[in-house]
Amino acid sequence: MKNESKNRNKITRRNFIKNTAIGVGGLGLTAYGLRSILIDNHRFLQIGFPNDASKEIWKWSREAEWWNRSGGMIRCLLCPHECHLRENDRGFCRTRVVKNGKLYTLAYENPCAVNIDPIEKKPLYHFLPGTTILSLATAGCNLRCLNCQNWDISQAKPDDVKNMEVKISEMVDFCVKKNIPSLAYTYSEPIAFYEYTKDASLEGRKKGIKNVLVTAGYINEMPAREIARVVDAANIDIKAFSEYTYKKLTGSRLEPVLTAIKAMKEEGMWIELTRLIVPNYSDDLADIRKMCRWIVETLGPGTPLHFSRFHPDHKLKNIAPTPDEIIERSYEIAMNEGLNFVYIGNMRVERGQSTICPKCKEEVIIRDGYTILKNEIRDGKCPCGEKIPGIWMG
Amino acid sequence: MLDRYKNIFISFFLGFLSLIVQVICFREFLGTLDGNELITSLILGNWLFLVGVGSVLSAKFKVKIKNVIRNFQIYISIFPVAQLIFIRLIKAQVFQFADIGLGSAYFLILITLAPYCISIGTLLGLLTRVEQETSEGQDKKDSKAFINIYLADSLGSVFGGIAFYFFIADRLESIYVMCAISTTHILIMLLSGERKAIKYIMAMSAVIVTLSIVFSIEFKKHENMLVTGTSETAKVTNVLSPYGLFREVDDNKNRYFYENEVLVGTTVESRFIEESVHIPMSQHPEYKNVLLIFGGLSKAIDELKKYQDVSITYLERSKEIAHRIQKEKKKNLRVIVGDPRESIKGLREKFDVIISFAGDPINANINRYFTEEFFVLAKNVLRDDGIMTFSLGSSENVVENSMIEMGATVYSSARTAFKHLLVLPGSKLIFLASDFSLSLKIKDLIKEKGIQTKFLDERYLETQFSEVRINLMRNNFERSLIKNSDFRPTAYFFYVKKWLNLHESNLLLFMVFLILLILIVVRLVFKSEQTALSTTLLTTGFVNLGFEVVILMSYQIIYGDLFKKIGVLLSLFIAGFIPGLYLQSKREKKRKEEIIICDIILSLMMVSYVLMLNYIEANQKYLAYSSQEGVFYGFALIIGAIVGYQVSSIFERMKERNQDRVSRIYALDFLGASVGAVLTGIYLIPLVGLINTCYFFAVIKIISALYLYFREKEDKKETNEQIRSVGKEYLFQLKLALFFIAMLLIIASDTKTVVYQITTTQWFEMFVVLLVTCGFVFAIKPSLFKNAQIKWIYFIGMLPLAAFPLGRCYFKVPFFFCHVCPRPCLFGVVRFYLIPSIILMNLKSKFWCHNLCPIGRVQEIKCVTNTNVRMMRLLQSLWRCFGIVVLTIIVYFAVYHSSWNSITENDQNSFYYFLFNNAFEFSLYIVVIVILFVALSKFIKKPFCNSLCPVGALSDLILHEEKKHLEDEHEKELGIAT
Repeated sequence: MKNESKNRNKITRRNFIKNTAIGVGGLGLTAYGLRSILIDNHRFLQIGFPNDASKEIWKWSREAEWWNRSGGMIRCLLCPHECHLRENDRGFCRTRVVKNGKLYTLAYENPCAVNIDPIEKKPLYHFLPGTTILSLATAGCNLRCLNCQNWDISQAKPDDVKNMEVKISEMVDFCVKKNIPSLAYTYSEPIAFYEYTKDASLEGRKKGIKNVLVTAGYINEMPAREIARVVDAANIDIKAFSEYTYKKLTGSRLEPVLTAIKAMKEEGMWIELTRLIVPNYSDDLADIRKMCRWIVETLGPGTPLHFSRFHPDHKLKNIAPTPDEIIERSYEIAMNEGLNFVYIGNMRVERGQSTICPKCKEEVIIRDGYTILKNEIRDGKCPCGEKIPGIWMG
Repeated sequence: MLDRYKNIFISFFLGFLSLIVQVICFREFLGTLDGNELITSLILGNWLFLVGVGSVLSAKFKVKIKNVIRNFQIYISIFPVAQLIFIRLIKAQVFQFADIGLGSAYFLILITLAPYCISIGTLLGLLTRVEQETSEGQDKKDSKAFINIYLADSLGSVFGGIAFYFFIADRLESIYVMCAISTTHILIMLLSGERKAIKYIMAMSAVIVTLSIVFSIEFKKHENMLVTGTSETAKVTNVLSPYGLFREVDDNKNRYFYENEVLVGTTVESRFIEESVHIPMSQHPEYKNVLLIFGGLSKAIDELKKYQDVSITYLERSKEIAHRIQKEKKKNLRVIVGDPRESIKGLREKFDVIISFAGDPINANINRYFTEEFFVLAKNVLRDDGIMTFSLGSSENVVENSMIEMGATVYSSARTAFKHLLVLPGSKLIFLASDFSLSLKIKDLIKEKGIQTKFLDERYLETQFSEVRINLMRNNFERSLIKNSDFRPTAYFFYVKKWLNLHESNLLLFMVFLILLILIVVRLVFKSEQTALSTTLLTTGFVNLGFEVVILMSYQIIYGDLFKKIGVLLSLFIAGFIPGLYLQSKREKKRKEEIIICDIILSLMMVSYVLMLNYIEANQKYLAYSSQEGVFYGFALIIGAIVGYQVSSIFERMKERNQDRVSRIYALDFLGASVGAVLTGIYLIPLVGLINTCYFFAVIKIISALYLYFREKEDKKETNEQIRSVGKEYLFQLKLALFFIAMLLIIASDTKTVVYQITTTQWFEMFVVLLVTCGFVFAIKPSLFKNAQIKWIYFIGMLPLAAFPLGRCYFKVPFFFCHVCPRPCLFGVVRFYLIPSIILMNLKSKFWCHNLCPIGRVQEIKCVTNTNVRMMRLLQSLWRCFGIVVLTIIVYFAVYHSSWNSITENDQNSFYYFLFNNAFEFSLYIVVIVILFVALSKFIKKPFCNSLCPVGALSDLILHEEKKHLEDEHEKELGIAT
């Protein structure tokens, strides 16, 4: 018995060789495995969804712009997320998918919402006031705002919504026929349907139709400049003016938005800004003051700024609407910082509805909601002769 | 205190206090999270699951049980206050008032409840054991000990429910109740503690009480800012009501109202209120008499008052809200307090307009305001030329599929009562229903009325309510869809779908939770020597809790006012246990037939409940309210009694060791109940409706009775060896089940992405590398690889490597074309070092194949259940030919299609097309082949490994002379040598 157990414990030459091979091989292969995870593999860069699209959606696709190859992956360069995608992966915006080694957009000529709105609804107060605008949107957005009011289309894939087929030419012809002077890319996020927006704007411009972006401006500088050359105006939503709050509220960064706004302005686009004030998130008055200063210094005091009241929606259903006091104090801060055109939206107060001439302090445009009661601007000027910045009729 | 009653005393108060904690936690969670039935089921399911886990843990404590009990008493006196503060702070400080999704909610509930619930479960198990030990010396009837504890706990729960609803709910704030609970726990500990430990207990008590009080006072000081985020200048009024805490925040201009931190109304002017009031009011020139359902806290009443001589009847559920409205003493306003759905039945007059502000159908209660039954009720109190309006939340562009479905089911339900229906795309979806033809000229109508509005200016009305847009809405909703009814709440189901989309959640986590539960339960059942009895206990727990959810929901559907009665109904369920347990304890002879009869009675009760529901529904007008209610109470009591009787009978018949028996009984009961709560609330009721859910329960109980009848005979015949063999077989079945669950998760379109994401994360890959590294160590020293838990970790960790390629390969040949795969799965990524590792590990007695390979492990059934050696050998030799046949076919194809160029991409009949046309979709061929191989493994030993696996074949070549010896060794290890 003793001998048997001794023999069992004794290592044979064969076993020794095997164990050594396994040990050395094991060490080597483990090191190789770790290397492939930590060094070779770029998967930690990846943002987005590994998710192919249904066949039906592909009929509304075209090759996307602004991407390149990075290692074995495709890198989308449209927005600052810069998703690294593999074959069949879908970007953070839910509309851009890699197929056969190329990046495609699935949001092309398939809007899920098409409506005729008053231009004031965008809100744009210094752009063809009193006119209507054909508004359209596809599904998808590159932000994740907790307070989104159109979340059912912005936080959806084109596969999740009822898509309509609206060809660019049809849309432009409709505007011409119905005498609608402009087209708005709105509701969700036009950056998510960049190619559709750009091509429609080009076509619209050819036929005298103006184009408007209603966006959060989360786009890289180069694509922003390119789109700014074909689009006439934009309302850009600055959700917050600190990186921390911006990240918390939208899941994205503030700095690229500011860069994009500057770039668009430089390209000659008419810009109005919106600040939605969300209690507990973006209602810090110091933050609002900082933003106003930046606007005055960078874009000029003639840039219209719209303060908008928050209403409970999406993931912030239990936060009460913004108190009147905060909105009114924000208005005062903006005026004190030197902004000439400050407006209040989503609520009715005496101030912040009409356009007041900075020189004579007279109301040059009086509004009742979206209805224009009086418009005294002629050739872009107040009757007192002061130039009112904006794009005006006639 | 007399030792004899000590355990019963502790159990009574355990039941008493834990029920109060449970109700408070329920209220708090519903406020913190979204208060729909998904969350309700999750709270209930998690609570029971954790108590069940605690009961299982109680069996692990073998010595010094009294000390363990004392320690757990200390824990449960700390947790209530901490738990409450945690729930409240997390919403404000971590989630920043944002709603959270299913996954976060699940983990939040699990983490928050775990310490308290596990301690409760463990204590319950330990107390029963101590009571058994005490009673052994007295009358040697250990089932009596179980009944005593169960009875005391149930009785305590009943009194807890009564105390909460009559003395605590609207008198004390939750934080103070929790403080009182902590103190009571300590008092009980002092009263029941042993003399020698009294100093220690007192010291601990002093610390706990002081900490609880200090925390509570500090918390109360900053509560408004911490919990509601309101500024310090705002005036905050807190009022306690039976529904929880009602809070009014006044910032001098507007007021905001919260119920358990849920925003229920504001006085802020909004476009939606103007739309909901003025659009219906403008449809007729002479509207005077208005019925308003909810919405009193908004400006709706003020807007209505803009019309001359209008008289308003307002229906409101909450006394607090009604009180605030009455305080303003508006002219021609009558407020009726009570469930509006009930109140509407009692109205004798007819109205010109009904405006409902019920909100979205976020739960079965609110869903009652969107059902065909409600629309019929509303029409009864509406004049012939009257109009009704209600709304569903949505952005102005209704294009999201689940929103369209929700709107469509409500639309088709309203069509049953009204001839004409309009859906307007306002700030929300505004439905107008009437028997007269409705005008689409909204702008002109409102202009005609000349009412001053703030938001409804001409251009808004003109563009927002254009005919094109209204017709587009109609097209969206005019489709044949199941109608939303009281007992089949489809609108609620679509709301849940929408809610899941909103949070980008799917039901995967629930599935994981259920699978986890089922695995634990299955393990408990099969580990038992009496599977039939365990199964009966499990299904009883399942049906009992499932039926509890059904009865609560049907009560709510018919009467609405559940909040007041929830305590009574739950208490009656538990109170029913008491006569059941008592009756059972008096019976001298315990017969199996009694358990079967209980099952049959339960089954009949389910069917009679359906009949009763139909009868009450049809004759509600003619039956006295008290008698109707009495029927619900009767059902709760009788079901409770049968369950109590059956559970104690099962305990009596269980022939296992005491500590195992106690923990198993509690665990099976609680875990079964947990599955029942989750499954009923989340899947069954929304999907199949209340009636069919009852039938489902009836069938379950009949099956359980039949199983018990036939199975117990077999249980008796089985020898110990056979039982062990079944144990092995059960382990194999568990592996098999896990394998196919993994395949299912990979195949299912809802879960494929999540599984892919999880398995391709760096962390998961690191985990695989760790497993492989340890695999080398185990290969060198196999004696380390004996622990069953380690084997399970390997099986589960390596499962995705095998299951993903099988379930969803880019090509239709798993594992083979990874080198050209454009989107590799985990196997494709790790194969560079995994395959060489496998071959190296196999140098040592095919260590990988026999121990680590998940594909090999799921084919071990032959080794486990082998009975016919000769037949097996014959099949084995025949099977060897199969490999040769496959090889021949491959060679033939390789020669036939010698050039890949001959295969064209565009030819739909080509081999190329076959391989690529459904890239990433699962292939039915592969799934069928996998099932065939697994099925074959019942007759042939490891059919895939022995005929097709290239890795195994290569290792066999290397270790040719060792092969036979290895196989025998492996079979020996499995316990059944051929």
